[in-house]
Order: sequence, then structure tokens, then C-alpha cells
Amino acid sequence: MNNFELNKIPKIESGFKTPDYYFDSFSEKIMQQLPERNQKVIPLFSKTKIWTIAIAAVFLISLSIPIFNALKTSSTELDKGTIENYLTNHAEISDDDLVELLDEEDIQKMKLNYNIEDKTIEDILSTNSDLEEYIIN
Amino acid sequence: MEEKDFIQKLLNPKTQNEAFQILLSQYQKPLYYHIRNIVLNHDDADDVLQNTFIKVFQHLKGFKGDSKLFSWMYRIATNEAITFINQKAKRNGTTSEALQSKIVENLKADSFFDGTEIQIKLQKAIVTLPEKQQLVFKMKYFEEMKYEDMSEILGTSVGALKASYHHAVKKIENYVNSN
Repeated sequence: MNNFELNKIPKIESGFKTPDYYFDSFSEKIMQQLPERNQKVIPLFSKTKIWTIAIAAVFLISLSIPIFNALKTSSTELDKGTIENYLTNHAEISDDDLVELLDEEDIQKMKLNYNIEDKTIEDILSTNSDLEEYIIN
Repeated sequence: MEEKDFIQKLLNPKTQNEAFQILLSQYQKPLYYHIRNIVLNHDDADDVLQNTFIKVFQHLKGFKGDSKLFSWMYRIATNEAITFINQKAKRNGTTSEALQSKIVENLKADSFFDGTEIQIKLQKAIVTLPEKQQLVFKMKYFEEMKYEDMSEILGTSVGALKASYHHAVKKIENYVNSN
């Protein structure tokens, strides 16, 4: 072939072809691959998961607080009751023993408790019908 | 302005898939032939085209809009194709030039190639050119791209591209005349 000049002959196409319907299915093929390969989606999902777990945890803890408190309170009350019952029914502790345990402060408190006004005493004395009997005896 | 809106659609998770599908339908054909002209065989072009679109999708967030979406995508496709050829040559223990020559020699057997005598001769002539001249010739002659667009994609001045194309044409004509 002599005097071949590219711009003097009709354009030569590259000659490359594709299988039939190649482009019809290509974009679908790519779209299917995107979510798998796109790493942005994965952390977004696990973030939501973490938040869901966190919210569930907060919810559970806040629910369990009243229950926990209720259990705690009733158990201490029970303890007091048990001690009282024990002291009353089983312990060999006399009144004298208990009095020995009282300190000055306790005694002061008791004194205040009995701090009754004179007028009240008078009223009780004057209205109490059994009074005479006490005086006599 | 329109391109800016389109890029916003590509970045918005709600409109992303729809916009990407538009991008695919607009660019799959031209990018395929651009890649095919470099890697020469269909299966390789299919692999590289898939990688190109996945890379485009993954890097959309980083696309600053300094260049046109069109030239940015062509740049990714070109880099992917050239990297592919180099890696394939390395795997086969040869150079990319030798590999290209071998593929062109076997073009006749390729079922996805027309295979007329002048077409094969032209491909044989092209592989004798330096890599950059090959690229410039293919983009100008086969893809009929404007020099301005080529300049944006390849980062070379229009003047240099014109000179490159002129040299390529002369070398190809010489090759065809003497073979």
C-alpha cells in the first residue's frame, strides 16, 4: 500500500464490538455491586445498631431503678422487723439491760417527751375519777 | 450550574442511586470504548469499566468540582486502564508494549473485533507508537474528542496534543506504506 494518508480515506473504525445487550445489563450489574463495595453504608448501619442497643440499655436501666429501690427498701424494713421480733420474743434482754444502753442524750429526749404543761396535768387530775382511789391507796 | 446540581444529587443519599444511574447511562458507552481502545480485549475492558464506575462512586465525596465531571471520570478510566495493562504485563513477566503487540497480533481471533485487513493494520501501526502518542491518537481519531477536552483529561496543553497527534499520524502512515 503506497501513499496511504489517513485524512484522505474514509474514517477507519476501531473495529471493537461488544457482546449483544452488553450495555443493557451493565448498569444493573454496577448498581448491584455498589452497596456491597460501598463501605459508607456499613458504618452507618452499625452506628444505628449501637444507638439501638444504647437506647434499649438506658430504657432497661431506668425501668429497673424503681424495682431495685423497692427491693432495697423492703429488705431493710424486713431487717428492722426481724430484729424487733427477735428482741421481743427470743432475746434474753431485760428492761434493765436496755436502760443501761441509754446514754445522757436519750434520757434528755425522754424528759422532753414528758414535758407536759401544768394546766394539762390539772385537767387530767380534776377529770380523772379514779384519782381518789390513788390518793387513798 | 446544571452540573453542580447534578453533583449535589450524586452526593445526596436520597437521590444518589437515581443520579448514578443517569451517570451510568450517559458514560458507560464512551468510557467503555475509551478503555477498550487502551486494553484492546473485551473481558479486560469490562473489568476496567466496572472498577472505574465503582471508583467514581467511592470518590464522589472527594470530587471538588475543580474540573468537569466528564474529564474527572475519563481521567479515572484512563488511569485504571493503563494500570491494568501494566499489572497484566507484570504478571506475565513482560513489558506493556510487548503485551500490546501480542494482543494486536491475535486480534483476528477476537470474536468481538471486526477484523478487516485495514483495521488490523491500523492497530498494528498504533502499537508501534510511544504510549502517550497512542493515547492521543486513539482519543482524537477513534473517539473524535475535542483537543480542549483531551487537554483537561490528560493535563497536556492543546498545542502539545496537536503536535503529538500530527506525529502519530505521520508514523502510522509511514508504517502502513512500508508494510
